[in-house]
Amino acid sequence: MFESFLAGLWMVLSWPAIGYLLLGVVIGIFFGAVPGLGGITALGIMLPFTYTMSPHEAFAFLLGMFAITTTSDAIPAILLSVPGTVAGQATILDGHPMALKGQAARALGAAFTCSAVGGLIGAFFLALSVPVIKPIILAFASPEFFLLGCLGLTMIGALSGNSVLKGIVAALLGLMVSMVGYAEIGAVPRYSFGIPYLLDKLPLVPMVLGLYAVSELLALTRNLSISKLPHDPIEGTVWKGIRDAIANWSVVLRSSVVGIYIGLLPGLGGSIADWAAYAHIVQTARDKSKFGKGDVRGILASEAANHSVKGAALVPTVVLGIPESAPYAILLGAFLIQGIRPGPEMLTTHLDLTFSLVWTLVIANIVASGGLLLCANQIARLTFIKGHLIVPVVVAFIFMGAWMSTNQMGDWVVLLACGVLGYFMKLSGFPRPPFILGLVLGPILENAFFISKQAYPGISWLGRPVSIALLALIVITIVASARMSIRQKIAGGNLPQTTEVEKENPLISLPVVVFSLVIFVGGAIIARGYPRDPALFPLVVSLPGGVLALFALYFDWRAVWLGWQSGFAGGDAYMLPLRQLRAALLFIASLAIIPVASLVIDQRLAITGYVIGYLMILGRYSWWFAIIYGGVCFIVIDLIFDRLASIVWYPSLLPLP
Amino acid sequence: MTRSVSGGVILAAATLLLHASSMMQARAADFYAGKTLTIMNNYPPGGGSDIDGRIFARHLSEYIPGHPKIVFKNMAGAGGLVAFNWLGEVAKADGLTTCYYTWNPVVQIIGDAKLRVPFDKFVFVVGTTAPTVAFIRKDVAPGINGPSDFLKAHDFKIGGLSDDALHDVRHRLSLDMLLGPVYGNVTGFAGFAPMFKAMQQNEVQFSSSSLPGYRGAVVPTMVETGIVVPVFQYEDVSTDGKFSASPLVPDLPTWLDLYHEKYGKDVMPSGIKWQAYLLLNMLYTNLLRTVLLPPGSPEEAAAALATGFEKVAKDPQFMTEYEKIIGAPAELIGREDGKKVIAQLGNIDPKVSAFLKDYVANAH
Repeated sequence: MFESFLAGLWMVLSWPAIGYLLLGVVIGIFFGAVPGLGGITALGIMLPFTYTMSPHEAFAFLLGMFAITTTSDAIPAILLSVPGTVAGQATILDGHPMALKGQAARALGAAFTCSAVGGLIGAFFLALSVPVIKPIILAFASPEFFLLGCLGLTMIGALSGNSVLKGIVAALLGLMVSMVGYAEIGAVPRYSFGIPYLLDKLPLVPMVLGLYAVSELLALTRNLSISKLPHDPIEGTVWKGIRDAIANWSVVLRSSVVGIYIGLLPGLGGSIADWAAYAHIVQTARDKSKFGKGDVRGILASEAANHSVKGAALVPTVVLGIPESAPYAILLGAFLIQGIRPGPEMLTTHLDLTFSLVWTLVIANIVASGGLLLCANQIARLTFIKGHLIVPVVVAFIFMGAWMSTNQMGDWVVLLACGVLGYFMKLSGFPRPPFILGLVLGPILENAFFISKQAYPGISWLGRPVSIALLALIVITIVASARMSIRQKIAGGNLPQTTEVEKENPLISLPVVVFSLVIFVGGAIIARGYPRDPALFPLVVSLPGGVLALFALYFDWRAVWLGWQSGFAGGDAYMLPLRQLRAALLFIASLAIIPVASLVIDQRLAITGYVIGYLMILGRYSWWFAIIYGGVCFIVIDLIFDRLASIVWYPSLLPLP
Repeated sequence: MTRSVSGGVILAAATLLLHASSMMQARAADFYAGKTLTIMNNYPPGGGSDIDGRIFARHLSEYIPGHPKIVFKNMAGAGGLVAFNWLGEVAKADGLTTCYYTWNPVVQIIGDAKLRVPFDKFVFVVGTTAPTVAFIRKDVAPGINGPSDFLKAHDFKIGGLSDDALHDVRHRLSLDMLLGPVYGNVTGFAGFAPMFKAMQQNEVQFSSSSLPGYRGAVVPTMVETGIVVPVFQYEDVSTDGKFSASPLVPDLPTWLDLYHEKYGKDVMPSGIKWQAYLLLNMLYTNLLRTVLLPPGSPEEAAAALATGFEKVAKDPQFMTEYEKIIGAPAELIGREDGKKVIAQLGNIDPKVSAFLKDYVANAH
C-alpha cells in the first residue's frame, strides 16, 4: 500500500505528467474565473486532447484542471457578485459585500486559503477512505436521498434572513420551476406548452447568471467602481484573509466535512455543497448579525466545502464506477478511454493510479491557491476600476456562459427573464438563495421519492436505519431553528438581514407576489391534466406555495395601503427603488438587443456590437478605443467558444463563414 | 421498334446511367473538400455513445472523400430528443451537420408529440449496433446461478429509465411473455450509472445493457464481484424475420432460447406482445446508434459520409482502438440495411402501435 502511495507521487512528479498538471491548473484557473464556463466545460473541451496520453498523464491534466476551477471562481463571485461556476454561488453572499467595502483582497485571501485547505482535506479523505468506504456509499439509496433533499430544505430558514415567509415562497417557486421539462416519471413533458426548448429542464447556469449577474451589473452602469470605499490597508489585506482562515479553523474543518459528505453521495451534485456548508455555519453561529453583509466565515464555509467535495466525489467514481455528477461522468469516460475500468481494479491493479489522483489534487490545490494568493492584490485592484470599463466584457462572458448550456436561443431568454426576476426579488424582499436551492433540490427530491415509492412496499422505506437517523436530524434541525429565532425575537434582536435583500419595497414586492401566485395556481391547474405520478409533486408544491403567497400578498397589500394613507411618507423608501427599477429595466431591455440582433447577424458580431455601442454611448469613450476593446472581445470569444469549445452557434440569417 | 434501335436505346440509357453515377461519385468526392463537418451527439460528454462517436470522429476525416475537418459536439436533454428535434428543425440541410445519436423508436411508434420530426424523415447514412445482455442479482428468489435458474425467478424489480424508453418497454414485454407477472417495475433512473448503483443496493434486481456498457461497467463491479449473473441476450432479428444470437456473446442463450427451454423447443411465442417485441427487437438490435442528416440534405453528402464510415470501420487502427476502449468490435450497419430498418417505422401495424401506446401508459 505504501509503495503504491509513493508510486502515485512519482507518477505525478515525473515529466511530462507534472507539466500537464501545471498546464491543467492554468487552464482550470481560466475556466473557473470566466462566468459560465466552469469545470464541466473545461473537461468536455480538453478530453479529446488526452487520447494519446498515458493514464497518469491524462488524469494529472484533467483532474489538475478540474480540481481548481472552484478556486478561481471566487474571483468573479467576490468582485462582481457573479458566480464563476455553479459551485461558487454562496461565496457571493459575503464575498461581494466585502468587496463593496474595499476588502476584496481580504476576501480573496480567505477564499484561496481555505480552498487549498478544503482541497487537501478532500484529497486525504480520498486516500484514506477508498479501501473502506463502499458500504457507506451503498447505505445511501433513494429513500436516503429523498430525506437528504428534505434536510436541504430545512436550510431555507438560514438562507432567508429576516424574510422567512418570502424565503419559503422563493424556495417553493424554485421547486415549481425545476419541474419544467421532461419528467422521467411518466415520460411526460411538463409545462412545455409545445415549445421545444422547454422539453428539457431549464438549465441552471443561465438562471443563476441572470438572477445574480444582471442585477449586480446595474450598479456598475452608473460608472461606479465595484468598491464604494477605498482599500482598507488594515482590515482589507490578503494577509488578513489568510489569518481569518486560520483563526476560524473550526469553520473550515466543519465545512470541509459537509463537502465530503455531499461529494460521497452520487446524485446530490456538488452545486449544493457550498449552500449546505454556508447554511450549517449560519445555523450554528452564535453571532449571525454579519452574515450576508461581509462575514468572512461565509466565504470560508462555501469555499472549503466546494473544494473538499471534489476529492470525496472521486470515491464513488473510482470505487463503484458511479459518477457523482456530470463532470465526474466525463472523468469516468476518460477512464474508459484510457482502458481503465473503475471498480475493484482501482484498489488492486491500479492502486498507484488511484493514489496519483490523490497527489494530483494535493499539488493542484497548493499550486493554484499559492499562485492566486500571490496575485490577489492585483486582482483586487479591479474593484477600483470604473464600472463602464467592466460592464461590457462581463456582459459578453455572461451571454456566452449562458449560451454554453444548450446552445439555443432559449438560454438567452432565460438569462434575461431571470435578470428581471432577480432584480425584482432583490428590491422586494425575496431572497434568491432559497429559490436556487429549490431549483437544485427539486429533481433530487422528486426522483428519489418516486423510485423509493416503486422500489419499496408501502412506506417501509422510511423505516430504514439511515432514513430514521435522517428523519430525526430533520426534526431536530427544524425545532432548533425555530427555538433560536423565537429566542432572538423575544430578546429584541433581528435575524440577520442579508444584503441579498435590499430595503423591501412593497410597491415592487406586490407584482412579485402576484407572479408567484400565478405560477402556483396556474401550475396546479395545468398539473391536474397530467397523469397521476407526474402531477403529484407540482400539486404538493403549489398548494402550500399558493397559500403562503396569499399571506405575503396580504402583508404587502397592507403595507402599500398604509403607505398610501400616509401619502407615502417614507418618500425615497418607495420612490428611489422605483427610479432604480426603471433604470434596471432599461438596462435589461438594452441587453435584449443582443439576442434580437443575433437573429440576423452572427452572435459574435452581435455581442461585439453591443460592447462597442455601450462604450461609445454610455461610457462616452472614443470610437477607436471602443473598437479596439470590441475587437479584443471578438477575438477572445471566437478563440474560446468557436475554436476551442466548438459550440453550436445560432443559425442567423448572415452567419460568419 | 427494330433490334438495332432498341439496342441503341439500351446502350444510350446505360451510358447515361453510368455517367450519372460517376458524376454523383465525383460530386460526392468534391462535396466535403475544404469544409467542416459537425457531428452532434445527443448525450452528454463522457457517456457511452459520446465516447463511441468520438472514436469514429477521430478517424473519419481520412476516409470521407474531400477530407473535411471534423468537429464533435454534444446536445443532451429529454432522453436524447432535444438533439433530434434540433437536427430536424433547426440544423441546416446543407450536409455539413450530421449526428451520432442513440435513438428510441418507441416514441415515434406511439405517436408521442415530443418527437417533432419522425425518424424516417431524416436522411439515413449508416448506423451501428451492439448486442444487449440482460442480467439479474444472484440472490433473487429462488437463487439464480445461471440462465436456466432465471426461468424460476420471482418477486424481483426491474430498473428502468422512463416508461417510453425502449430499454424499459422491451424488458417488460420479454419478461411478461417469459415469466409472467412476477416482477415490479421501477423507472425514473437518470441513466445507467444510477441504475447500476441501485442494483448494487438491491433496490432493483434486473436490468440490461448494450455489450460495451456491460463489459465496461457491469462486469467489473457486479459480475466479477458475484452480485449479478448474465441470463440472456436479446436476439438479433433481421428485417426478414430471422433470429440469431450475437457471435460476440457466444456462451449466453438468447431470450428465445430460454422461451423454448421453458415452453418447448417447437413452441413459438404469439400474440400482440410477441409482435411488439419482435418489432422493437428488430429495430434496436439492428440499429443502436444512427448517423443521420437533416431532412432534405443533399444525397452527395450522405453518400460521402457513408463511404467514410464504411472505410473507417475496416481500418485496423480504428478497430483496435475501438475494441480496446468500447470492449467490443464496432458493428456497422450500411446504408441500405439501415434504411430497411428505419422504413419499418412507416409500415407498423396500427394494432401494434395502439397496443404499445396503451402498454406504455399503463407501465405502473
